[in-house]
Amino acid sequence: MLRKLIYPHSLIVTCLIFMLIGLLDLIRINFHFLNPFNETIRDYEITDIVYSRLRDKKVKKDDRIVLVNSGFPPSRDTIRMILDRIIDAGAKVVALDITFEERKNFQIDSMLRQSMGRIENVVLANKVSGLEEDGITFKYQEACDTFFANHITTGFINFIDHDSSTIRYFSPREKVEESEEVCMAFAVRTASMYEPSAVERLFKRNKDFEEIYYTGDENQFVLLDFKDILDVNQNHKSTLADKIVLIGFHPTSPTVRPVIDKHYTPLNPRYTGHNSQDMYGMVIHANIILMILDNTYIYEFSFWINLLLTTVFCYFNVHLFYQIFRRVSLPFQFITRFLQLGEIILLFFIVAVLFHYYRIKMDVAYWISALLLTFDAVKFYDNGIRKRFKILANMPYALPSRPKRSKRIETATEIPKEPPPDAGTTPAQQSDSKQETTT
Amino acid sequence: MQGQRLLNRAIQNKKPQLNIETNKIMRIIAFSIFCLFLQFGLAAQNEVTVLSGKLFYYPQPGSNPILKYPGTQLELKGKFRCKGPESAKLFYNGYYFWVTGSKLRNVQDVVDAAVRTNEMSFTGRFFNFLTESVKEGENTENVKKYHRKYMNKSAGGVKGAVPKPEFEISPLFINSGKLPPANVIFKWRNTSGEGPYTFHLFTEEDKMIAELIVRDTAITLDLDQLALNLDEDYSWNVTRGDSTKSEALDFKICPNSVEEQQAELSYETAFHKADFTEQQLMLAYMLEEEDCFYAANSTYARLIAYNANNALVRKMYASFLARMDMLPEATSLLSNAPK
Repeated sequence: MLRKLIYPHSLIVTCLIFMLIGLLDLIRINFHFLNPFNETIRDYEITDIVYSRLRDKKVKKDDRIVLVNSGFPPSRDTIRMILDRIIDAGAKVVALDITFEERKNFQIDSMLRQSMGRIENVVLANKVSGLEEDGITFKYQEACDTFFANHITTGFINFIDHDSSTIRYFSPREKVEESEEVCMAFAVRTASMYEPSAVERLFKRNKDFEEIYYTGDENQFVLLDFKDILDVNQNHKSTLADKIVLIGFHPTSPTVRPVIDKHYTPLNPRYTGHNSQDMYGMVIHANIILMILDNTYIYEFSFWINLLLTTVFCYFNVHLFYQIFRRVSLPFQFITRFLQLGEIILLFFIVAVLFHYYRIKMDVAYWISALLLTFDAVKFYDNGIRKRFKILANMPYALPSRPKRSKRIETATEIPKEPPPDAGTTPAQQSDSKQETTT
Repeated sequence: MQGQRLLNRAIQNKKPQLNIETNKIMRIIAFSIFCLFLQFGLAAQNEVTVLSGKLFYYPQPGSNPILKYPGTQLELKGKFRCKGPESAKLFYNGYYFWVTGSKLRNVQDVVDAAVRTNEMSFTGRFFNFLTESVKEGENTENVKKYHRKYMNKSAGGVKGAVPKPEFEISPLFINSGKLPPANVIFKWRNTSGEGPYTFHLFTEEDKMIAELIVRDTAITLDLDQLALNLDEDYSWNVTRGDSTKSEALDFKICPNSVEEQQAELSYETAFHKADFTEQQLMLAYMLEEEDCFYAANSTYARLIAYNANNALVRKMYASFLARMDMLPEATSLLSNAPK
């Protein structure tokens, strides 16, 4: 059975393709004129189309998180009043996506801290900075004054956006030199106060960074303006009781939407080229919290499984293309190009379906590279390499099937026949050799 | 042998019991599924949540308004309006939508419209419409066919068998639906006969509120002067002599229909990217969708005056006129197109 699956020439071409991919990977093409193109491509992933175009238009409203717009710039006195009202309404966790970088007015700051301390489940935002040379530890925690940070729990609000401007990943926890404890991300800290078991699940995954699974944009959450909260005629108990309340900047108007704490996400309707930021930071945090609470993580294959799948995919494609090349030499180009196109569409479809329904993310970049190189590699190998080396020229295309044991006694005395001179050559080559003999 | 017989009997006795058990389980499962669907159905049908913004909700006609904040719910049977010119975002059955302005609206109507709108994006709908209009307005023959097809559809005729008109005078449909309050020209087609026309205006209860004698086939009315109430249904018809009369067309006064549609369009990215002509075409389309035929006609007329050489505008206006049963105007518009 295994012998039937092994085709020596296809194996050699597969190795050749892998060498080519490795070579292309080593020689990083970094021409200046290709930079805009590179930048665009770097910011794009196939799954972005799933988010921005293939996503269900129907919104699933979330009943655990409520967003509150603090206005910009937020006044500390207003924040204190909002906080008091929210705590009075019975919110389970209050997370402030606002940085308190310095002390301003002692009286107001003291009153604010007092309000923050009314319940245990209050999270403040800070930032980690100064990455050490080891690439693991950060030097400082900043953006939250010790007047607040020493008394109230904090979480860092940094997003991972070094390689691209699109927010795809977040780090659940980071090591900071000055702190004995491991610092948690803002969203992780908030989720841990709401449902500690959910964060345990996250840490059990033991990943340095997680890809964010966006369930939707701001339309899945109830958004209150700070003026609504401060309206004493309104009782917000039914809206806020036992909920996670995120306070930060998010305009309530559909038309006036300043670019403050606004980021690119895969949900952006324009997923390539020039576009405008589409999501406020608070909504990104809310999406991360939802992902942790619902255990809806994105799954990716390990490097080795990916390599194995790529090899299998490449090998079978090489075999298919080689078969076509051997049997039909003239329309080979047409058929293979058509096949390549069909397979790329099919691959995109599979990637989209797996991501949309099962949150499985497949990296098919190498698959596509292999597929694109197969046509030329087969041609180059068969015409350029195989003819030059005798061993390769004499090598049969398929391994000869193993003779059956019962017949061995009868056939043992037979003289083994020489392979026909045309074995393992294309019809075009056969006709060439015939012409040579006639001349 | 006897043992075998006993065993067979036991099996025979067991079988119906097994069937009864299975039926019971199946019934319970079916009932549970039904309850589940019922629960989802009921939950989906009765609740509209305010996601952001504020609005006044009127649970019953004549009741005091209740200020609704984000996170609170409205029932489908009531009415609402936004606080002044503010906007509010509502959520219903998986769809969200913005509402703007202080106009009093039925929750059910807004929800229905939003669900319909959400099923296809605005751009998709608009471009479908655009393609159809351009195709139908290609030449006079197509317009005639389109008019015939559209009128048959409107009249509810089966396979082109349109019932014979029982009215001799044909009023123009653009004077129906939602009308602006000032200087509306009511028009109808001329018929053979003698004597002046009599224009009548009725309330919803068929109570006549105005009667005017007209020599021409048009009359300009300032509806503001007649002290008509907003959001109430009225109708008009024309008679000539004792026997000749027109069908009564319903209308209501909507002073801000153009502004409201413009506000709706301002949320569409396609609208912002479009040039002036395209924006006006989108506006005309929206007005027609919202039954503001008179305003849509005015928009098209302004556009054609501004941009007489634009073939797209001409075709779209022609198809609009055909839909409004104004075939002579549509064909003349196409035949007078600059070469």
